Amino acid sequence: MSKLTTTLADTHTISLAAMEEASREGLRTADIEHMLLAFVLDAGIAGQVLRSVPITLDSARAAVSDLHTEQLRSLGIHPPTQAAGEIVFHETGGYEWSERALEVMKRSGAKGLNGDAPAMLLALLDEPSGLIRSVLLKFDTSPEAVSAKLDEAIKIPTHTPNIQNSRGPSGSASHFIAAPADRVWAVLADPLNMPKWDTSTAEIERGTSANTQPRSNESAPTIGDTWIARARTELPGGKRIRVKPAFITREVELTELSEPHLIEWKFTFPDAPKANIRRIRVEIEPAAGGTQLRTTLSWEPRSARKRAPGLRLLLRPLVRFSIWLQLSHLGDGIGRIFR
Amino acid sequence: MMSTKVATIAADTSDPRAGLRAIASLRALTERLELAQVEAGLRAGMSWPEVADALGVSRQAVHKKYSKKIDQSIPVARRNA
Repeated sequence: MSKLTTTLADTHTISLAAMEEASREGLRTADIEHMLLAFVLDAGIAGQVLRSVPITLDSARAAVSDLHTEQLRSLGIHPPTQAAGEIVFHETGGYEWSERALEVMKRSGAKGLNGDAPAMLLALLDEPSGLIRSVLLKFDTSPEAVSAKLDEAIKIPTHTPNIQNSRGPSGSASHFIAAPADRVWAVLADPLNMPKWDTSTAEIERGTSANTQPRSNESAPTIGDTWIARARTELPGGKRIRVKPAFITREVELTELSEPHLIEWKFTFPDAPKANIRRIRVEIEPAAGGTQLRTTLSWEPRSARKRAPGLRLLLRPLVRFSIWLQLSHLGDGIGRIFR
Repeated sequence: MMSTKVATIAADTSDPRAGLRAIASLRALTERLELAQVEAGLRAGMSWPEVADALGVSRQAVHKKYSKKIDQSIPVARRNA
């Protein structure tokens, strides 16, 4: 991805994670401590450097909460202990960045930094209030120590694996999940769990578009099994979502299942037989403090449609963005199950 | 919840940097509690004007601040009555 798109992608992913964390605390303003939590979840070097301290999502949340409690106690206030909150970001609105969080974002694009996740973390570590310093102190480290590690990691060239040669557009993304790999596998291995991580899936059950007798919902999924899923047409508040009628019903076929590290699904649309086949591949790898996922989305044209080559080049950035957005949504959805 | 010593302690200005950071935490706590109480009020059947009166702010101000932030499934009059 070009520098600009990496910056936009990272800004989106960090913003989303930070606001989800703020929503857990019943807040609608995401501040710099929520940014820090978002970086702990980052799949790239910013997250890897933080997690190597070591810092986990749970310990980071506790450290931030403890710091606030200590600061309030210094004013003579004993806040009631909060029950662990749920992420309600996707059912509510009105979220904003705090002013100092916006300052961090601005600084990450200035002075030779390029605004991607590592640059944002460097800017965050440099924040003037002392809050980040106090949080890091609870992990026996400092903004200087983490910045130094990050500077070193930035120098190492990252290897972007070659996108598989498929007959159509495809793209890959990495995600960090704050849960052990076997728990992630347990959720992903059964397509009946799809509504849990894919907000666009309203319901799913065993079935085939050919109307042959499906296996029972209780039987263990195996390669070749199919399910029928229906897209969501309504948001929780009642607002309608526009989905083309032919694309509401989709058939999901399990095409790969290698415990504990590889799953692949093939999506077809029985009511839109000429539509492209979508494939989603998920590679699961244990990592420090959780699991690293590599997701790949590819489209296969049904027919050998001859598109004017000029048009294909023009559409490429849009297609890449669309693929990235879908993968980002998928990664966020899977991650949220374990947060 | 609040100790009667708050006024005394908060007025202790011997370490203003720490004091200011503590005020920042207090501000976040206030925001969180205000949202929770606004939602609770609306769920209990209060109208926007009743919520505003209890908070001591204008109806327009509370509606503007909270209409998008509250749980969207709370049935509440959309009109700023």
